[in-house]
Amino acid sequence: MDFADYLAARDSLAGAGAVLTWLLGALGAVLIAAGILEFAGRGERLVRMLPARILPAVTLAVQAAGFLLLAWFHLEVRRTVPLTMPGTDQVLARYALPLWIEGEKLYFWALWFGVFALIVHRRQPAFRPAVDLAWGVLLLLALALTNPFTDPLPRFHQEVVMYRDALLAGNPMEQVQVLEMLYGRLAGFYNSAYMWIHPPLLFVAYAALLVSFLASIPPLLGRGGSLHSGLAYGYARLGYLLLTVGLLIGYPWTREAWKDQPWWWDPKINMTLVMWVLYTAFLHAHLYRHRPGMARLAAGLGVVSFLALIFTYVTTYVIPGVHSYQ
Amino acid sequence: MGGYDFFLIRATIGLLAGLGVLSLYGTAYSFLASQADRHWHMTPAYSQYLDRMDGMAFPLVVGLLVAMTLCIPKRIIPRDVLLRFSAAIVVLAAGLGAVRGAGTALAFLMALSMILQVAVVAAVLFRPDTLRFERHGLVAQLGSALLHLGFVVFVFDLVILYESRWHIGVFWLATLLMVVGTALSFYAPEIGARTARKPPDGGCPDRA
Repeated sequence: MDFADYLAARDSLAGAGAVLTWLLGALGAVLIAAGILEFAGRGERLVRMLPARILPAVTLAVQAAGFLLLAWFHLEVRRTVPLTMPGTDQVLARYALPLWIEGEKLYFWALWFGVFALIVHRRQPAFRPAVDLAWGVLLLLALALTNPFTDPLPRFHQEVVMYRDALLAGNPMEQVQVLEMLYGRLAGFYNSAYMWIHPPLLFVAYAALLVSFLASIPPLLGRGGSLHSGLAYGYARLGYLLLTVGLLIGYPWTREAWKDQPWWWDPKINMTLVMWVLYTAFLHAHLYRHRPGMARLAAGLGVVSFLALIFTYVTTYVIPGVHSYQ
Repeated sequence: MGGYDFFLIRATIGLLAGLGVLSLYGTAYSFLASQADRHWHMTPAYSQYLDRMDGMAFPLVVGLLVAMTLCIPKRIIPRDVLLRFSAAIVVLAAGLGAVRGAGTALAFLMALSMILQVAVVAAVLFRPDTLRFERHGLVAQLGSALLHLGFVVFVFDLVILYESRWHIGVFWLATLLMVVGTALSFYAPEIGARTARKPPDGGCPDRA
């Protein structure tokens, strides 16, 4: 174990991350301002200016740079803090930390929303203000609530520190106990193949469903037309497909990881079912959108479904259960 | 027959909405219980909550299975005998339930659903003219048929094969069917446009 190298990597991430945080914060604020100005009808000249035209691409590039920085840190974790047999240098396992754990989740969501926002910018320019505004807000939320750079992976860091302390204390019994616990976390959670598939599918789905939500608002208010409902449906079907695959892939993981623990009526699972049912209803309602009143009903379902998605995401942090991060 | 379809759609939506409301109730109940005791999910009260939720969900799940079993034959059974066929299924399932228990009745419904749905998939591929679908085009119909087959296999696997060593293998099969079915169903226009052959003279491509 090379704990000093690990701490140095952590400090480097925090240092470079502080610069990135300010840069991304400024870009997020500019996106919000641009969105508001365009909504206010003063965006015509703004969007013709070169900086405004390249703003989305620059923002996404900086977000991607932050993601690469996180990837570098994860590789350093793999290199510097392997789990070793106490008293020897024999490596038992190395961490393969996914890039969407702890504070990185919201950042990953914002990154994928940036990808979709850039596509919307190019294909549906009329929808740019709403996307800019939402992108800026999501980016600032990711930096303010769960900044992945300033205190990288605090829970994982606690585990590594506990392991280092156990090794320094020199008590073989304690070392074995800590090692068993950490190995269980490594095999069942961090390095699990499901961890590399289940969460990212859901976060990409959430990003697509955020676009769908934004496109559902104008038809609900009686504005917008087929462009908005088409956009809402287009991103909802992508999000729903990824959501369904992601949720299904979570099932064998529950069997493997939670074994006999009752999980079926867990609050997070309950809310996920509510969200999935609502999106199913939204997609079916869209099929009948040409009937009187159905377009607005579909738009309403698109908005309510996304509110259920937010509630599902928050449930994990608010209500204790087997799927809780509390 | 439009009334029959519409009734089934409304019943399915109502049952799904019921499951949604039940899940919402479960979340609210969990929240309130956790306010009183943060570790309540490790107490006997949690087991009682699970039993109660199972009990409330059971009729909704049975209702969904019945609706699904009645929904599938409409694609292949001639319309003039569909109502009698559906009534016979319900009576037979109820009889089996009374004599051999609810488990046997559910297994009968699910096995019947699977057989009928496999027949639908085969008909989509080989005898599409014998089927009645809301949507047109091979890709959309195949997607819909595979999605429903996947769902039927998924429910059968969850209810009947839960303790079996085949459970996870069948689960992956159901997942594959549902994912491919959903993708084909959602992206039928795009896939149809891409797979349509362009005539050599550069005219309009065939519609899928």
